[in-house]
Amino acid sequence: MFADPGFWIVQLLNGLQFSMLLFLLSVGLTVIFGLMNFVNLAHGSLYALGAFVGWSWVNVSGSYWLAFFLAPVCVAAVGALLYVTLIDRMRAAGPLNQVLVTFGLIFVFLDVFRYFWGDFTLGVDKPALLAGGFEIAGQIYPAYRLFIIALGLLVLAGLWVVLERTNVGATIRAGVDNSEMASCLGINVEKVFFIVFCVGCALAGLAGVVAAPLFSVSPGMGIELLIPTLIVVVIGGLGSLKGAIAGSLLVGMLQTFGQVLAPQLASMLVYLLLAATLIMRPQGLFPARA
Amino acid sequence: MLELRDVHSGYGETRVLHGISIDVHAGEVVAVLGRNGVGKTTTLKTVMGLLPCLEGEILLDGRRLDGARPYDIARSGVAYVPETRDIFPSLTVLENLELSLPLGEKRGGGWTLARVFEIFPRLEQRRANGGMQLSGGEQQMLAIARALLLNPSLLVLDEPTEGLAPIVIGEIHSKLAELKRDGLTILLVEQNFGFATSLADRCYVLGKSVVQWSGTSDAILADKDMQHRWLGV
Repeated sequence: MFADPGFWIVQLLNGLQFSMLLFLLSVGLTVIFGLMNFVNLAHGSLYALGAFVGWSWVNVSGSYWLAFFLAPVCVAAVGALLYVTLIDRMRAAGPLNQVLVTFGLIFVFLDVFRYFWGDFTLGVDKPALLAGGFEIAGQIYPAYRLFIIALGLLVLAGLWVVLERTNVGATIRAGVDNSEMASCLGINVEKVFFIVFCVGCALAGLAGVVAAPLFSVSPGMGIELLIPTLIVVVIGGLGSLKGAIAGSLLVGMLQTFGQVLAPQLASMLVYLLLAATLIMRPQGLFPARA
Repeated sequence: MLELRDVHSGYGETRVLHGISIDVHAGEVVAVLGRNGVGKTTTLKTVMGLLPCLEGEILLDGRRLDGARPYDIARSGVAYVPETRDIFPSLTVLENLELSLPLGEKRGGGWTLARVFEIFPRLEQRRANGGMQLSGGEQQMLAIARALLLNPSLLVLDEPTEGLAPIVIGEIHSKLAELKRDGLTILLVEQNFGFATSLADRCYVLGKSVVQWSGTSDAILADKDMQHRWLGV
């Protein structure tokens, strides 16, 4: 098995696909943290919300692609509502209160999912366009997974261009560096925070609706992915796009290859990586504020 | 132009300013002097809305500034150069300057990138460098240039000479003198007595959280007793 190049290629693609999913989730979380110093533990719940809302849109309209575009919008709207009603007020409350409140939100969302969608595991069919597969190195590889990889790379490239090459991006980076000074230059940092928060929520929703056909949709799906996402953010360094990319790839690959090469160790490996990072480079690989 | 009337301010529970009154007229350079820790930086931060004005009033051209948020204060024409310069490290020199353009262009005035580069040619040479690759003097120039691009009616400077070599201090002095000749209104906080008095028209001396003395720069230079008592020079 190990001598077969097809095996390695397929595992590499699996790792890349999982990494991209982690990236979609962690990039929002890390930029929100960098910009607002706000720890949103309910980020995983927004991912689950994306999956549930996606499921509903598929059922109502019969079109996966409609769900694909509408679920992120719906999740961003819920994010905006959360921001206005709760998160904006918690900004000055300190990390402990933020963690407690957003931890509480996880349970609120859990019950909201159960109330509206039931405590079941729901399935979403892959869109017909991507139902097939491609032959790669003698193996059939599902087209849908390749789509996730492509989507992740597209979002990554888009975010990079916006953050590094545009005035909007420079404004966001300035806000991450020093929000007080940015506001002294006439920049409405609060508005920037709000927009970035909503975009982060939309990306979590996008991850959810994209993950729905791959994994089953269940109320607990967000909690499952929250831990690896937080690990990505810590390993990559808080607040940085580069960190989110590097962290997602490290955790995604380690988890994927760990499961096939050392299944007994797999569940521990990511935590060992986390511990090693915290000991040797506690600020993470690419911290936004060096 | 700027008027502080009996301003009280501080950090959290700690009051640092106990009723400060300062006037800055249009076209004037006013220096706030005093020993370390008397509240000079606190005064400027309170003007910028970075610290709360707990009592008293701050007026800009007769309109209340106290209680406004920093970006509203910036929009009404106050540009701030903090003591720590606060160059954005993840932005290039050019990006640091460009941040000021939206507001600067909306306010209108004579300051453009071209004019800023004319005054500070070093910044043009280093335009693609990261904000943290600059020397202390270059950072100070960048912070001043960034503030000028806002086309401010009032420039607020916190210790522009701090940590700089004498030759660089001389350079900053001549640039600020040029701005003064141009008619820009400046509120300056300084530890460097010679620098401040040679630039300012009038000075305020803070001590024990209140204004102890105010007058022209000539008067302060003549009053050795006051200098000894409140400035230790």
